[in-house]
Amino acid sequence: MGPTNLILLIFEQDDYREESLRYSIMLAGRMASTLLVLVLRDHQDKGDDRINRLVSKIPHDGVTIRTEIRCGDKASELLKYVATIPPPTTVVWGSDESVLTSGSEKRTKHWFARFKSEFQCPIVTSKARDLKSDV
Amino acid sequence: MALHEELAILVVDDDPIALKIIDRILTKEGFKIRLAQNGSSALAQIKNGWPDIVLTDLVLDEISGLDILAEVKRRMPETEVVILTGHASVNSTIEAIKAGAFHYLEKPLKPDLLRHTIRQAAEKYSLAARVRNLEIEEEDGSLAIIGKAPALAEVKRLIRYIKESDSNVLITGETGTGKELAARAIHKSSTRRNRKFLAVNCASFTEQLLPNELFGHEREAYTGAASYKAGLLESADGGTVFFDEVGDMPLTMQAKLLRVIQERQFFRVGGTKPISIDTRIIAATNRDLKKLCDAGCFRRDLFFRLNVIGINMPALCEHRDDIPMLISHFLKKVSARAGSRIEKVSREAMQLLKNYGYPGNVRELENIVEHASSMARGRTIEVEDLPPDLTDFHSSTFHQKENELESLEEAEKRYIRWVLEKVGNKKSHAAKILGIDRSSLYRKMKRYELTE
Repeated sequence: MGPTNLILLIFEQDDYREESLRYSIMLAGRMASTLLVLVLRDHQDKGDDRINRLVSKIPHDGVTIRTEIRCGDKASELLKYVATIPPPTTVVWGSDESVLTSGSEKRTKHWFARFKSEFQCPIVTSKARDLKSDV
Repeated sequence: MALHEELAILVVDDDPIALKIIDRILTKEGFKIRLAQNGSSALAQIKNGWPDIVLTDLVLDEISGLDILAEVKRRMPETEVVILTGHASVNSTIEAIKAGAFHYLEKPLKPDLLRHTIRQAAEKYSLAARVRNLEIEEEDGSLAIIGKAPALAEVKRLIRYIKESDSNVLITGETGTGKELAARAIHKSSTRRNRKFLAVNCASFTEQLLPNELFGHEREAYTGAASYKAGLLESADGGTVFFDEVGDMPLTMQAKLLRVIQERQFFRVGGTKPISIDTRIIAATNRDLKKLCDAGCFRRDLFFRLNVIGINMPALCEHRDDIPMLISHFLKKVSARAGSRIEKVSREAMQLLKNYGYPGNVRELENIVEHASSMARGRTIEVEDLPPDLTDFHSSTFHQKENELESLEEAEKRYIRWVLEKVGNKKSHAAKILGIDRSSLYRKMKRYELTE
């Protein structure tokens, strides 16, 4: 596997789903990929370090993880960020998965649901099965 | 699994008691037995191509054991024949062996000798069958692609369809779908199979290093170039070069590659003498090259030159029915490499494996099977042996369709057009290359509206 294998995990605002991060780490391990964690926020926040604390809390032997926080219009910031990296082989949407899976208005109105066709790779969402969320 | 499990034996003897005894002895050994009490009945079964081994009395009715031997060797030369006789004679023994019989047994039969002889015949038959299968695999590279689902069957059919062709191929598909495997299968099926297959990952080299890798360099072409070095194109002359992730090739390199395809020659870095080559090019990408062309990131003329034949490797979710077969294949691989003795997967574990989304496709499945094999304590992979994310999380995977999937018809149309261009529109020549007769070619040309 070459060095350009990337998995991009996207979080929106403060909606950090730990299972998404755990899943992404395991997937990156299986696929010998680097994990890029991108947090998209409307505004700067003093709690911006939360993501790094979450990453360091979860074991990730053998997986390189890089985090990035971008503030501003989320769709634009995502586009700008993606332009700076090689195309990811998988995108994991780490926040509310219903924006992709639900049949409700959320799916058509949410910015990421309209944006996802820009990616030329699989997009994954992950949530805890039953109540067993602690691995 | 016993060596001779599932081998079929036809026993021919006009003595019903002898038939019963032999049936009992060999059925206990695990063989599938059919009985025939005369030559005609035996020949009828042989005509159906049924037995792997024939055990026949020498003296029957109007059709003798030697007649049966001759018929077997005519129809199914790989079937082993053992002759039984109560009248041992040197002449008949020699005649039977010369005619291809495996062995000769005297009546009254000694059960141990019968068992021993049949086991030896079974071993010889099984070994010959394995060699035959290997020979077929050697020539049919598409067999390396595991799967029977329609999505993959189309891929295999296309690979076999183009095996006599020398045209460039563009393989598309997500990461981990087996694009390189397909490229190797194409090479192995082609007339270039005995020449080199060399692969280059276009994303792994910088714009400065890729020309050197592909074209090689002359002595003193740059500081540190103490001697000349042949590049991949030259080293693979007569064979195949596989450009993986061709969508990541820099534009300047794309221009050079286009020239190589058009002119069939190139210059080494620092060289002035053109090097002619006869190298087939297969390229692969997980990106939408049409979109890249529209964005100005990939040369459209190069895209058309590469995409003479397009093969799309389906995502694993498009052929989920193949998951058990793939798991079995990977378990055998792990067993051969690491000596593990995993034989099967529990029903619950298989259900989880079948339901998972596989964003990493077949490669991810292989890694999961390897992980589970290393965790399993017994001979069965259980749920707890699987990676925790499969058991603890529910993931949903949305696969993009990068390009519209091209039908076999569209691929065939494009290929026929290309062949006609190559042979200056000579129909007889084109028909020969395509492996069809002229009238079939004309019908296809009419159907696809391929005008003069």
